[in-house]
Amino acid sequence: MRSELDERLEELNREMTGLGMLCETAIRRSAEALLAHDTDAARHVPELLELVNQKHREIESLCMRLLLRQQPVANDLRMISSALKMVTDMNRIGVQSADIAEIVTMDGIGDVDGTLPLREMAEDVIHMVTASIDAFVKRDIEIARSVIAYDDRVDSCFREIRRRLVDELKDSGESGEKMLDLLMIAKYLERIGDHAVNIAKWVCFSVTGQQEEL
Amino acid sequence: MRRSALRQRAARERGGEGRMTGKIFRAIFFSAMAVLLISIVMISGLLYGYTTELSERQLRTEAELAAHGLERQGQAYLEGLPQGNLRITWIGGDGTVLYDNASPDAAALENHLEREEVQQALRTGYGESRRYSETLMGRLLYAAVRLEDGSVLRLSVSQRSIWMLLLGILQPLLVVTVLAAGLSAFFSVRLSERIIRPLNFLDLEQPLDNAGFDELAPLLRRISSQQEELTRQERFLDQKQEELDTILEHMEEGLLLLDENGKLVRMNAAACEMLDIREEPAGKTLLTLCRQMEVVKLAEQALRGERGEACLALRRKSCRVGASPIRQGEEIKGAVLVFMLMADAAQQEKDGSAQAAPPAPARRGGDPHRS
Repeated sequence: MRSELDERLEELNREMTGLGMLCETAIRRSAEALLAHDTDAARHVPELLELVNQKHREIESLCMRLLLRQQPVANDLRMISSALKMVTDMNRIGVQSADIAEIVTMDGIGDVDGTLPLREMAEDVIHMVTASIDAFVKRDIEIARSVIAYDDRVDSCFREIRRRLVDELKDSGESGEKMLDLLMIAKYLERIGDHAVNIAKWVCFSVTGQQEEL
Repeated sequence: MRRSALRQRAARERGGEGRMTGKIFRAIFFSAMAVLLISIVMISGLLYGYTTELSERQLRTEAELAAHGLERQGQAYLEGLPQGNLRITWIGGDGTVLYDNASPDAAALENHLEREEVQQALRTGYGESRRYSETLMGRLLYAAVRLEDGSVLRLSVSQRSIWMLLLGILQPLLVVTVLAAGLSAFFSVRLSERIIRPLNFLDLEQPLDNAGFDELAPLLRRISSQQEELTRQERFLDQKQEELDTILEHMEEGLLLLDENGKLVRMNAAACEMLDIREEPAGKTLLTLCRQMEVVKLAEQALRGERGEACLALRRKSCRVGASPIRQGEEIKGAVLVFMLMADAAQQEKDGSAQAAPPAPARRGGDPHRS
């Protein structure tokens, strides 16, 4: 006979996976909107953010109830405390995806320069978010470690984009708004990558009990 | 009564009628005790009657001998007799007690004329009677002989009651009871083992080949018949399963079956390919395997009882997904999702509309292509 704690932990797992799915969808649609200049795709992202916020609150509430009523110990306590940390990062992914979508829809960013490694960066970030959620679902620390290692690529892309944009601003003298928008988008993508890394680190902690350091 | 009711309830909860060893033990033990008790009652009764008769005959003989001695030697003869367990009373013709070996002052004893044995002796020359004594908890046997001078010599002896006799054999009876219980327990265990052994080693695959008690034959025939039925059903199910597997695995459309809790029951190869699922899906929730929001939402919708459809991109291919609830009466037992590549879906729609279209009207003026 399964205890109430086991049932609640399974519920927490399900909710976390659901939140992960929302975050993946949000970043995917934002990237789609950015790269395909599909403002329709971008318009759905704020709705997703609402769902992400709601799920975030529900999961936090569930974790607090578990801590107060069940007084978990050892592995269970580790899992719940990791979940409390992970939801914050997932929430931030949702927020930053919405920010990207907002820039695409509101600021008329237009077509993105194909030579900028923005597509590559967006795909890498989507891969990291997906893999970090996979790591959580499968409790696989190898996948989690691969996410942590992947961050270097994203950081490298960001540095390249920043350098190129700064050069373009200096050389072409065009309106800096679009450049700044693209820089912000790149920054958001880089932050999303960092949040994915945090999620992966918390997955490692929940499985091994050890903090993963780069 | 209450303990028996509790035992019955415990047996019901165990799903049976209690242990066979216990039943056999009780049967043997109570049979043995019943036989023992009946034997004791019958034998005691018969023996008691026999010993009473014997005692009375003996008492009569002694009374006649004592009367003879008394007539020859007078009271001195009686006084010379050893005390023993006999009570000797010499009663005058008027009932006065002339001598009693149990009482030093015979004259103080009450008149015995009305005593049954005395009356009988005075009438017929010999009388006898039996009386129960509460004090002695036993019977007193009396034999009275009329003497030549009209007086009566009476002898009496006490005899224990049958209950006292039985009480006397209580200790050996307890020993026998304990012995009976021990033997009953021993034989009941052995008997249970011997009965159960062939059952525990039954070859259920070939029940009729088992050697055992003749009484097991009906059971073995039933098992054999059930085995045959099970084999037939298993074969049938295997065949149906194989047919279903063949159909599902060769379908181009992806098929996904969920149970009422949203866990995967079946997913064919096409669905695994479309959703890029590489692990064993059975028993896992859809969300664990596929985090495509549209697919998950359709599944949740179907599990709530609503049909739904969506077009989405799966592995860079356009796909149409349809979700339907699976109902059993009013109850939703699960959901089914069907994934169809858009090219296939479009072709199917085209084929469907071509079949439904009315026949083209005949042209006027014959075939324009004929010269």
